[in-house]
Amino acid sequence: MKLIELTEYSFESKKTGRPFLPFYFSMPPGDVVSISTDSAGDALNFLMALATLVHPLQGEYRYKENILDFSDYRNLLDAKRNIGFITSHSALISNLTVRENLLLMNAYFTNSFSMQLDLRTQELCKLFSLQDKLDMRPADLTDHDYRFVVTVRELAKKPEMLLMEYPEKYIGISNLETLNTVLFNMLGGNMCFVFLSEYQHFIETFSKRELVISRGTLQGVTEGFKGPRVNQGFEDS
Amino acid sequence: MQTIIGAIGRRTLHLSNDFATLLTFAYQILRTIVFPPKKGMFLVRRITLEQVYFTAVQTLPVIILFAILIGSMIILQFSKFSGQSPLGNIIVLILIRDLGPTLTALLIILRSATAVTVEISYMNVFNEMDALEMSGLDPLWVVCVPRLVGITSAILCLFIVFDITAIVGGYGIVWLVTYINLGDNLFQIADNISAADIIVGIIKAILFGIIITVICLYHGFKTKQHITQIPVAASKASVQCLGACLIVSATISALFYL
Repeated sequence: MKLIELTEYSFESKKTGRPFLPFYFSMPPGDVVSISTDSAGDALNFLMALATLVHPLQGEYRYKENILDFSDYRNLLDAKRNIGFITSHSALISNLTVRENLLLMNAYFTNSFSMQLDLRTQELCKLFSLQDKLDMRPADLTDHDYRFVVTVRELAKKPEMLLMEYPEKYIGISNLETLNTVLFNMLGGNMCFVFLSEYQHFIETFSKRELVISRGTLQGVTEGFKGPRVNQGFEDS
Repeated sequence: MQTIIGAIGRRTLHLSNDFATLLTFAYQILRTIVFPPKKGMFLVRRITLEQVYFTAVQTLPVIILFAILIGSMIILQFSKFSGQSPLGNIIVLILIRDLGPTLTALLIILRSATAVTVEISYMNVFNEMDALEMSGLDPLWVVCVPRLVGITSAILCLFIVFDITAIVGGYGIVWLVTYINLGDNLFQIADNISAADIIVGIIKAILFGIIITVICLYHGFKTKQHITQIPVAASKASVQCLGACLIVSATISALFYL
Protein backbone atom coordinates (compact mmCIF):
# COMPACT_ATOMS: atom_id res chain seq x y z
CA MET A 1 0.00 0.00 0.00
CA LYS A 2 1.17 3.50 -0.79
CA LEU A 3 0.54 6.38 1.55
CA ILE A 4 0.50 8.88 -1.31
CA GLU A 5 0.47 8.48 -5.06
CA LEU A 6 0.43 11.41 -7.46
CA THR A 7 -0.20 10.51 -11.09
CA GLU A 8 0.24 12.85 -14.06
CA TYR A 9 0.13 15.55 -11.45
CA SER A 10 0.64 19.16 -12.40
CA PHE A 11 0.07 22.36 -10.44
CA GLU A 12 0.72 26.06 -10.64
CA SER A 13 3.29 27.85 -8.53
CA LYS A 14 1.48 30.05 -5.97
CA LYS A 15 3.99 32.88 -6.34
CA THR A 16 4.98 32.86 -9.99
CA GLY A 17 1.98 31.15 -11.59
CA ARG A 18 4.42 28.95 -13.54
CA PRO A 19 3.09 25.40 -14.04
CA PHE A 20 4.93 22.43 -12.60
CA LEU A 21 5.07 19.88 -15.44
CA PRO A 22 3.14 16.60 -14.99
CA PHE A 23 4.95 13.96 -12.92
CA TYR A 24 4.45 10.70 -11.06
CA PHE A 25 5.43 10.33 -7.42
CA SER A 26 4.52 7.81 -4.76
CA MET A 27 5.60 6.96 -1.24
CA PRO A 28 5.02 3.80 0.77
CA PRO A 29 4.68 4.19 4.54
CA GLY A 30 8.04 4.72 6.23
CA ASP A 31 9.68 6.12 3.09
CA VAL A 32 12.10 9.02 3.45
CA VAL A 33 12.88 11.24 0.49
CA SER A 34 15.26 14.17 0.30
CA ILE A 35 14.86 16.81 -2.37
CA SER A 36 17.69 18.07 -4.51
CA THR A 37 16.81 21.15 -6.51
CA ASP A 38 18.07 24.11 -8.49
CA SER A 39 15.19 26.22 -7.18
CA ALA A 40 14.16 26.37 -3.53
CA GLY A 41 10.87 27.97 -4.63
CA ASP A 42 10.01 24.97 -6.81
CA ALA A 43 10.85 22.62 -3.96
CA LEU A 44 8.59 24.56 -1.57
CA ASN A 45 5.82 24.45 -4.16
CA PHE A 46 6.29 20.72 -4.43
CA LEU A 47 6.05 20.35 -0.65
CA MET A 48 2.92 22.53 -0.69
CA ALA A 49 1.44 20.33 -3.40
CA LEU A 50 2.14 17.24 -1.28
CA ALA A 51 0.42 19.06 1.61
CA THR A 52 -2.60 19.61 -0.70
CA LEU A 53 -2.18 23.37 -0.27
CA VAL A 54 -1.92 23.86 -4.03
CA HIS A 55 -4.71 22.89 -6.38
CA PRO A 56 -3.71 20.64 -9.26
CA LEU A 57 -4.01 21.68 -12.88
CA GLN A 58 -4.33 18.01 -13.83
CA GLY A 59 -3.74 14.51 -12.53
CA GLU A 60 -4.85 12.74 -9.40
CA TYR A 61 -3.66 12.63 -5.82
CA ARG A 62 -4.32 9.40 -3.96
CA TYR A 63 -3.98 9.47 -0.19
CA LYS A 64 -4.16 5.99 1.33
CA GLU A 65 -5.56 4.74 -1.99
CA ASN A 66 -8.41 7.27 -1.99
CA ILE A 67 -8.49 9.93 -4.69
CA LEU A 68 -8.56 13.38 -3.11
CA ASP A 69 -11.35 15.63 -4.35
CA PHE A 70 -9.99 19.15 -4.73
CA SER A 71 -13.36 20.65 -5.74
CA ASP A 72 -14.08 21.59 -2.11
CA TYR A 73 -11.29 22.39 0.36
CA ARG A 74 -13.31 20.62 3.10
CA ASN A 75 -12.70 17.28 1.36
CA LEU A 76 -8.96 17.75 1.96
CA LEU A 77 -9.06 18.55 5.66
CA ASP A 78 -8.86 14.92 6.82
CA ALA A 79 -5.73 14.35 4.75
CA LYS A 80 -4.24 17.70 5.77
CA ARG A 81 -4.52 17.01 9.50
CA ASN A 82 -2.36 13.92 9.02
CA ILE A 83 0.39 15.84 7.25
CA GLY A 84 3.04 17.69 9.22
CA PHE A 85 4.17 20.80 7.37
CA ILE A 86 7.25 22.59 8.67
CA THR A 87 8.35 25.19 6.14
CA SER A 88 8.76 28.95 5.76
CA HIS A 89 5.06 28.91 4.76
CA SER A 90 3.99 27.54 8.17
CA ALA A 91 2.48 29.92 10.68
CA LEU A 92 0.98 30.17 14.14
CA ILE A 93 -2.41 31.75 14.79
CA SER A 94 -1.39 35.22 15.94
CA ASN A 95 -4.35 36.03 18.20
CA LEU A 96 -3.87 32.89 20.28
CA THR A 97 -1.18 32.14 22.85
CA VAL A 98 1.41 29.45 22.23
CA ARG A 99 -0.51 27.09 24.54
CA GLU A 100 -3.79 27.76 22.68
CA ASN A 101 -2.03 27.19 19.36
CA LEU A 102 -0.80 23.82 20.61
CA LEU A 103 -4.22 22.90 22.02
CA LEU A 104 -6.28 24.12 19.07
CA MET A 105 -6.46 20.84 17.16
CA ASN A 106 -7.25 18.86 20.28
CA ALA A 107 -10.00 21.32 21.29
CA TYR A 108 -11.55 21.11 17.82
CA PHE A 109 -11.59 17.33 17.51
CA THR A 110 -12.48 16.45 21.10
CA ASN A 111 -15.04 19.26 21.51
CA SER A 112 -13.52 20.22 24.83
CA PHE A 113 -10.97 22.66 26.07
CA SER A 114 -8.41 21.96 28.73
CA MET A 115 -5.43 24.23 29.33
CA GLN A 116 -3.35 21.13 30.03
CA LEU A 117 -1.07 19.96 27.22
CA ASP A 118 -0.88 16.23 26.62
CA LEU A 119 2.25 14.36 27.66
CA ARG A 120 3.71 14.15 24.17
CA THR A 121 3.35 17.90 23.58
CA GLN A 122 4.78 18.62 27.04
CA GLU A 123 7.81 16.48 26.24
CA LEU A 124 8.31 18.21 22.90
CA CYS A 125 8.00 21.62 24.58
CA LYS A 126 10.63 20.52 27.08
CA LEU A 127 12.95 19.35 24.31
CA PHE A 128 12.67 22.72 22.57
CA SER A 129 12.72 24.73 25.86
CA LEU A 130 9.28 26.21 25.40
CA GLN A 131 7.78 25.51 28.85
CA ASP A 132 8.08 29.10 30.04
CA LYS A 133 6.81 30.57 26.76
CA LEU A 134 3.47 28.80 26.62
CA ASP A 135 1.42 31.82 27.65
CA MET A 136 3.11 34.24 25.27
CA ARG A 137 1.60 35.43 22.00
CA PRO A 138 3.43 34.45 18.78
CA ALA A 139 4.36 38.11 18.19
CA ASP A 140 6.27 38.14 21.50
CA LEU A 141 8.41 35.14 20.57
CA THR A 142 11.84 35.28 18.99
CA ASP A 143 12.05 33.96 15.42
CA HIS A 144 13.75 30.86 16.75
CA ASP A 145 11.09 30.12 19.36
CA TYR A 146 8.33 30.82 16.82
CA ARG A 147 9.75 28.13 14.56
CA PHE A 148 10.17 25.76 17.51
CA VAL A 149 6.46 26.16 18.34
CA VAL A 150 5.51 25.41 14.71
CA THR A 151 7.78 22.35 14.83
CA VAL A 152 6.29 21.15 18.13
CA ARG A 153 2.72 21.68 16.86
CA GLU A 154 3.38 19.72 13.68
CA LEU A 155 5.26 16.90 15.41
CA ALA A 156 2.69 16.67 18.22
CA LYS A 157 -0.09 15.85 15.79
CA LYS A 158 1.66 12.55 14.98
CA PRO A 159 1.62 13.03 11.22
CA GLU A 160 1.55 10.16 8.75
CA MET A 161 3.72 12.27 6.46
CA LEU A 162 6.12 15.01 7.50
CA LEU A 163 7.22 17.70 5.05
CA MET A 164 10.13 19.87 6.03
CA GLU A 165 12.06 22.65 4.37
CA TYR A 166 15.68 23.27 5.33
CA PRO A 167 15.55 21.87 8.89
CA GLU A 168 19.10 23.10 9.46
CA LYS A 169 18.00 26.68 8.81
CA TYR A 170 14.51 26.37 10.28
CA ILE A 171 15.49 25.24 13.73
CA GLY A 172 19.25 25.77 13.52
CA ILE A 173 22.06 23.26 13.23
CA SER A 174 22.63 23.35 16.99
CA ASN A 175 19.09 22.05 17.55
CA LEU A 176 19.12 19.41 14.83
CA GLU A 177 20.18 16.75 17.29
CA THR A 178 16.98 17.29 19.25
CA LEU A 179 14.90 17.02 16.08
CA ASN A 180 16.96 14.01 15.06
CA THR A 181 15.95 12.09 18.18
CA VAL A 182 12.25 12.86 17.71
CA LEU A 183 12.35 12.00 14.00
CA PHE A 184 14.00 8.63 14.60
CA ASN A 185 11.18 7.69 16.96
CA MET A 186 8.54 8.83 14.52
CA LEU A 187 10.11 7.14 11.50
CA GLY A 188 10.07 3.90 13.47
CA GLY A 189 6.28 4.24 13.41
CA ASN A 190 6.12 4.21 9.59
CA MET A 191 5.85 7.96 9.07
CA CYS A 192 6.80 9.24 5.60
CA PHE A 193 9.29 12.07 5.53
CA VAL A 194 10.03 14.43 2.63
CA PHE A 195 12.57 17.14 3.22
CA LEU A 196 14.65 19.73 1.47
CA SER A 197 18.08 20.23 2.97
CA GLU A 198 21.56 21.37 2.09
CA TYR A 199 23.03 19.79 5.20
CA GLN A 200 24.76 16.65 4.01
CA HIS A 201 24.80 15.01 7.44
CA PHE A 202 21.03 15.32 7.73
CA ILE A 203 20.52 13.98 4.20
CA GLU A 204 22.86 11.05 4.76
CA THR A 205 21.31 10.24 8.09
CA PHE A 206 17.71 10.11 6.95
CA SER A 207 17.32 9.88 3.19
CA LYS A 208 16.39 6.62 1.48
CA ARG A 209 15.82 8.22 -1.93
CA GLU A 210 16.74 11.49 -3.53
CA LEU A 211 14.19 13.35 -5.60
CA VAL A 212 15.53 15.79 -8.18
CA ILE A 213 13.48 18.88 -9.01
CA SER A 214 14.93 20.89 -11.82
CA ARG A 215 13.69 23.26 -14.53
CA GLY A 216 10.21 23.40 -13.02
CA THR A 217 9.48 19.72 -12.70
CA LEU A 218 10.36 16.47 -11.03
CA GLN A 219 13.24 15.00 -13.01
CA GLY A 220 13.62 11.68 -11.27
CA VAL A 221 14.19 9.75 -8.09
CA THR A 222 17.55 8.27 -7.17
CA GLU A 223 17.42 5.10 -5.11
CA GLY A 224 20.13 3.55 -3.03
CA PHE A 225 20.51 5.79 0.00
CA LYS A 226 20.92 4.04 3.29
CA GLY A 227 17.90 5.66 4.91
CA PRO A 228 17.38 6.46 8.59
CA ARG A 229 20.18 5.10 10.67
CA VAL A 230 18.37 4.46 13.91
CA ASN A 231 20.05 5.41 17.16
CA GLN A 232 22.73 7.26 15.28
CA GLY A 233 22.75 10.91 16.19
CA PHE A 234 24.78 13.62 14.54
CA GLU A 235 27.52 13.34 17.11
CA ASP A 236 28.11 9.71 16.30
CA SER A 237 27.73 9.76 12.53
CA MET B 1 -16.17 53.90 -28.93
CA GLN B 2 -15.56 50.14 -28.99
CA THR B 3 -12.89 50.56 -26.32
CA ILE B 4 -15.31 52.42 -24.03
CA ILE B 5 -18.05 49.83 -24.52
CA GLY B 6 -15.49 47.06 -23.99
CA ALA B 7 -14.29 48.68 -20.76
CA ILE B 8 -17.86 49.06 -19.50
CA GLY B 9 -18.59 45.46 -20.41
CA ARG B 10 -15.48 44.15 -18.68
CA ARG B 11 -16.23 46.24 -15.58
CA THR B 12 -19.82 44.97 -15.51
CA LEU B 13 -18.68 41.37 -15.87
CA HIS B 14 -16.09 41.86 -13.13
CA LEU B 15 -18.67 43.39 -10.78
CA SER B 16 -21.23 40.69 -11.56
CA ASN B 17 -18.63 38.00 -10.94
CA ASP B 18 -17.61 39.68 -7.68
CA PHE B 19 -21.24 39.92 -6.55
CA ALA B 20 -21.96 36.28 -7.47
CA THR B 21 -18.87 35.15 -5.52
CA LEU B 22 -19.99 37.23 -2.54
CA LEU B 23 -23.46 35.63 -2.63
CA THR B 24 -21.96 32.15 -2.92
CA PHE B 25 -19.69 32.90 0.02
CA ALA B 26 -22.69 34.11 2.07
CA TYR B 27 -24.60 30.97 1.10
CA GLN B 28 -21.69 28.76 2.20
CA ILE B 29 -21.52 30.42 5.64
CA LEU B 30 -25.31 30.27 6.16
CA ARG B 31 -25.32 26.64 5.02
CA THR B 32 -22.59 25.86 7.55
CA ILE B 33 -24.76 27.43 10.28
CA VAL B 34 -27.81 25.37 9.23
CA PHE B 35 -25.84 22.13 8.77
CA PRO B 36 -22.97 22.50 11.23
CA PRO B 37 -20.07 20.03 11.29
CA LYS B 38 -20.03 17.75 14.34
CA LYS B 39 -16.50 18.72 15.27
CA GLY B 40 -15.43 21.97 16.86
CA MET B 41 -18.75 23.07 18.36
CA PHE B 42 -17.09 23.96 21.67
CA LEU B 43 -14.43 26.03 19.93
CA VAL B 44 -16.98 27.83 17.75
CA ARG B 45 -19.12 28.72 20.80
CA ARG B 46 -16.10 30.12 22.56
CA ILE B 47 -15.01 32.25 19.58
CA THR B 48 -18.62 33.45 19.12
CA LEU B 49 -18.73 34.61 22.75
CA GLU B 50 -15.41 36.42 22.27
CA GLN B 51 -16.81 38.10 19.16
CA VAL B 52 -19.94 39.21 21.05
CA TYR B 53 -17.68 40.62 23.77
CA PHE B 54 -15.51 42.54 21.26
CA THR B 55 -18.43 43.81 19.19
CA ALA B 56 -21.20 44.37 21.73
CA VAL B 57 -19.75 44.77 25.22
CA GLN B 58 -16.72 46.85 24.24
CA THR B 59 -18.85 49.07 21.97
CA LEU B 60 -21.48 49.70 24.64
CA PRO B 61 -19.98 52.90 26.14
CA VAL B 62 -19.51 54.41 22.66
CA ILE B 63 -23.02 53.53 21.51
CA ILE B 64 -24.58 54.91 24.72
CA LEU B 65 -22.70 58.19 24.31
CA PHE B 66 -23.65 58.50 20.63
CA ALA B 67 -27.27 57.58 21.36
CA ILE B 68 -27.62 60.23 24.07
CA LEU B 69 -26.06 62.91 21.84
CA ILE B 70 -28.15 62.04 18.77
CA GLY B 71 -31.33 61.56 20.82
CA SER B 72 -30.97 64.93 22.54
CA MET B 73 -30.15 66.67 19.21
CA ILE B 74 -33.26 65.25 17.51
CA ILE B 75 -35.54 65.99 20.46
CA LEU B 76 -34.09 69.51 20.75
CA GLN B 77 -34.54 70.28 17.04
CA PHE B 78 -37.99 68.76 16.60
CA SER B 79 -39.44 70.09 19.84
CA LYS B 80 -39.79 73.43 17.93
CA PHE B 81 -42.36 71.79 15.66
CA SER B 82 -44.23 70.08 18.44
CA GLY B 83 -47.15 72.42 17.91
CA GLN B 84 -47.55 71.34 14.26
CA SER B 85 -46.77 67.65 14.49
CA PRO B 86 -46.62 65.37 17.54
CA LEU B 87 -42.99 64.98 18.67
CA GLY B 88 -43.55 61.34 19.64
CA ASN B 89 -44.58 60.50 16.10
CA ILE B 90 -41.51 62.19 14.60
CA ILE B 91 -39.18 60.34 16.95
CA VAL B 92 -40.74 56.99 16.07
CA LEU B 93 -40.45 57.85 12.37
CA ILE B 94 -36.84 58.97 12.49
CA LEU B 95 -35.15 57.28 15.42
CA ILE B 96 -36.75 53.87 15.74
CA ARG B 97 -37.54 53.09 12.12
CA ASP B 98 -34.38 54.34 10.43
CA LEU B 99 -31.70 56.13 12.43
CA GLY B 100 -31.46 53.51 15.20
CA PRO B 101 -30.49 50.50 13.10
CA THR B 102 -28.52 52.55 10.56
CA LEU B 103 -26.40 54.42 13.10
CA THR B 104 -25.79 51.22 15.05
CA ALA B 105 -24.64 49.56 11.84
CA LEU B 106 -22.42 52.56 11.06
CA LEU B 107 -20.75 52.36 14.47
CA ILE B 108 -20.18 48.63 14.06
CA ILE B 109 -18.72 49.22 10.59
CA LEU B 110 -16.35 51.85 11.97
CA ARG B 111 -15.37 49.86 15.03
CA SER B 112 -15.61 46.14 14.33
CA ALA B 113 -16.06 45.58 10.59
CA THR B 114 -12.75 47.16 9.66
CA ALA B 115 -11.09 45.19 12.46
CA VAL B 116 -12.55 41.92 11.12
CA THR B 117 -11.38 42.70 7.56
CA VAL B 118 -7.87 43.52 8.76
CA GLU B 119 -7.74 40.44 11.00
CA ILE B 120 -8.85 38.04 8.27
CA SER B 121 -6.62 39.68 5.64
CA TYR B 122 -3.69 39.41 8.03
CA MET B 123 -4.46 35.75 8.68
CA ASN B 124 -4.57 35.12 4.94
CA VAL B 125 -1.42 37.04 4.04
CA PHE B 126 0.58 35.38 6.83
CA ASN B 127 -0.64 31.86 5.96
CA GLU B 128 -2.65 31.43 9.16
CA MET B 129 -5.65 30.12 7.21
CA ASP B 130 -3.39 27.46 5.70
CA ALA B 131 -2.19 26.66 9.23
CA LEU B 132 -5.81 26.16 10.34
CA GLU B 133 -6.47 23.89 7.38
CA MET B 134 -3.28 21.92 8.00
CA SER B 135 -4.62 21.23 11.50
CA GLY B 136 -7.82 19.90 9.93
CA LEU B 137 -9.90 22.88 11.06
CA ASP B 138 -12.48 24.31 8.69
CA PRO B 139 -11.95 28.11 8.44
CA LEU B 140 -15.55 28.62 7.36
CA TRP B 141 -16.71 26.96 10.57
CA VAL B 142 -14.19 28.31 13.09
CA VAL B 143 -13.53 31.75 11.58
CA CYS B 144 -16.61 32.84 9.60
CA VAL B 145 -19.55 31.38 11.54
CA PRO B 146 -18.54 32.79 14.97
CA ARG B 147 -18.05 36.23 13.47
CA LEU B 148 -21.36 36.15 11.61
CA VAL B 149 -23.33 35.00 14.65
CA GLY B 150 -21.40 37.26 17.04
CA ILE B 151 -21.64 40.45 15.01
CA THR B 152 -25.30 39.91 14.03
CA SER B 153 -26.42 39.30 17.61
CA ALA B 154 -24.28 42.24 18.76
CA ILE B 155 -25.95 44.59 16.26
CA LEU B 156 -29.39 43.37 17.32
CA CYS B 157 -28.65 44.04 21.00
CA LEU B 158 -26.90 47.35 20.35
CA PHE B 159 -29.78 48.58 18.18
CA ILE B 160 -32.19 48.04 21.10
CA VAL B 161 -29.77 49.77 23.49
CA PHE B 162 -29.34 52.63 21.01
CA ASP B 163 -33.08 53.25 20.63
CA ILE B 164 -33.87 53.14 24.34
CA THR B 165 -30.86 55.30 25.28
CA ALA B 166 -31.52 57.82 22.50
CA ILE B 167 -35.12 58.35 23.62
CA VAL B 168 -34.73 58.21 27.40
CA GLY B 169 -31.24 59.73 27.52
CA GLY B 170 -32.12 62.39 24.96
CA TYR B 171 -35.15 63.39 26.98
CA GLY B 172 -33.10 63.44 30.13
CA ILE B 173 -30.45 65.74 28.63
CA VAL B 174 -33.01 68.13 27.10
CA TRP B 175 -34.92 68.23 30.41
CA LEU B 176 -31.70 68.87 32.35
CA VAL B 177 -30.09 71.58 30.24
CA THR B 178 -33.03 73.44 28.62
CA TYR B 179 -36.35 74.95 29.64
CA ILE B 180 -38.22 73.41 26.69
CA ASN B 181 -41.58 72.04 27.74
CA LEU B 182 -41.64 68.43 26.54
CA GLY B 183 -45.10 67.73 27.93
CA ASP B 184 -46.28 64.14 27.54
CA ASN B 185 -44.13 63.38 24.49
CA LEU B 186 -42.60 60.28 26.07
CA PHE B 187 -46.11 58.78 26.27
CA GLN B 188 -46.78 59.87 22.68
CA ILE B 189 -43.81 57.74 21.55
CA ALA B 190 -45.22 54.73 23.37
CA ASP B 191 -48.60 55.31 21.67
CA ASN B 192 -47.06 55.68 18.21
CA ILE B 193 -44.80 52.61 18.23
CA SER B 194 -46.43 49.72 16.40
CA ALA B 195 -45.40 46.07 16.23
CA ALA B 196 -44.31 46.68 12.63
CA ASP B 197 -41.78 49.30 13.79
CA ILE B 198 -40.17 46.83 16.16
CA ILE B 199 -40.22 44.01 13.59
CA VAL B 200 -38.70 46.26 10.92
CA GLY B 201 -35.96 47.31 13.33
CA ILE B 202 -35.15 43.69 14.17
CA ILE B 203 -35.15 42.63 10.49
CA LYS B 204 -32.87 45.51 9.60
CA ALA B 205 -30.48 44.76 12.47
CA ILE B 206 -30.23 41.07 11.49
CA LEU B 207 -29.72 41.86 7.80
CA PHE B 208 -27.14 44.54 8.63
CA GLY B 209 -25.25 42.02 10.76
CA ILE B 210 -25.19 39.46 7.97
CA ILE B 211 -24.27 42.02 5.30
CA ILE B 212 -21.48 43.63 7.33
CA THR B 213 -19.91 40.34 8.37
CA VAL B 214 -20.12 38.67 4.96
CA ILE B 215 -18.66 41.68 3.12
CA CYS B 216 -15.82 42.05 5.62
CA LEU B 217 -14.98 38.34 5.62
CA TYR B 218 -15.17 38.27 1.82
CA HIS B 219 -12.69 41.12 1.46
CA GLY B 220 -10.51 39.57 4.15
CA PHE B 221 -10.36 36.26 2.30
CA LYS B 222 -9.73 38.01 -1.02
CA THR B 223 -6.49 39.51 0.32
CA LYS B 224 -3.94 36.91 -0.62
CA GLN B 225 -0.37 37.96 -1.04
CA HIS B 226 0.70 41.42 -0.03
CA ILE B 227 0.43 43.23 3.28
CA THR B 228 -0.23 46.47 1.33
CA GLN B 229 -3.57 44.99 0.20
CA ILE B 230 -4.84 44.94 3.80
CA PRO B 231 -5.71 48.69 4.18
CA VAL B 232 -7.23 48.66 0.69
CA ALA B 233 -9.41 45.70 1.65
CA ALA B 234 -10.47 47.38 4.91
CA SER B 235 -11.37 50.59 3.10
CA LYS B 236 -13.31 48.81 0.34
CA ALA B 237 -15.13 46.63 2.85
CA SER B 238 -16.28 49.52 5.04
CA VAL B 239 -17.54 51.60 2.09
CA GLN B 240 -19.37 48.59 0.62
CA CYS B 241 -20.85 47.70 4.03
CA LEU B 242 -22.24 51.22 4.46
CA GLY B 243 -23.60 51.35 0.92
CA ALA B 244 -25.22 47.91 1.20
CA CYS B 245 -26.74 48.72 4.61
CA LEU B 246 -28.25 51.99 3.30
CA ILE B 247 -29.72 50.24 0.24
CA VAL B 248 -31.21 47.46 2.38
CA SER B 249 -32.55 49.97 4.91
CA ALA B 250 -34.25 52.04 2.21
CA THR B 251 -35.67 48.91 0.55
CA ILE B 252 -37.12 47.52 3.79
CA SER B 253 -38.59 50.91 4.75
CA ALA B 254 -40.17 51.17 1.30
CA LEU B 255 -41.57 47.64 1.53
CA PHE B 256 -43.13 48.16 4.96
CA TYR B 257 -44.24 51.77 4.93
CA LEU B 258 -45.07 52.75 1.36
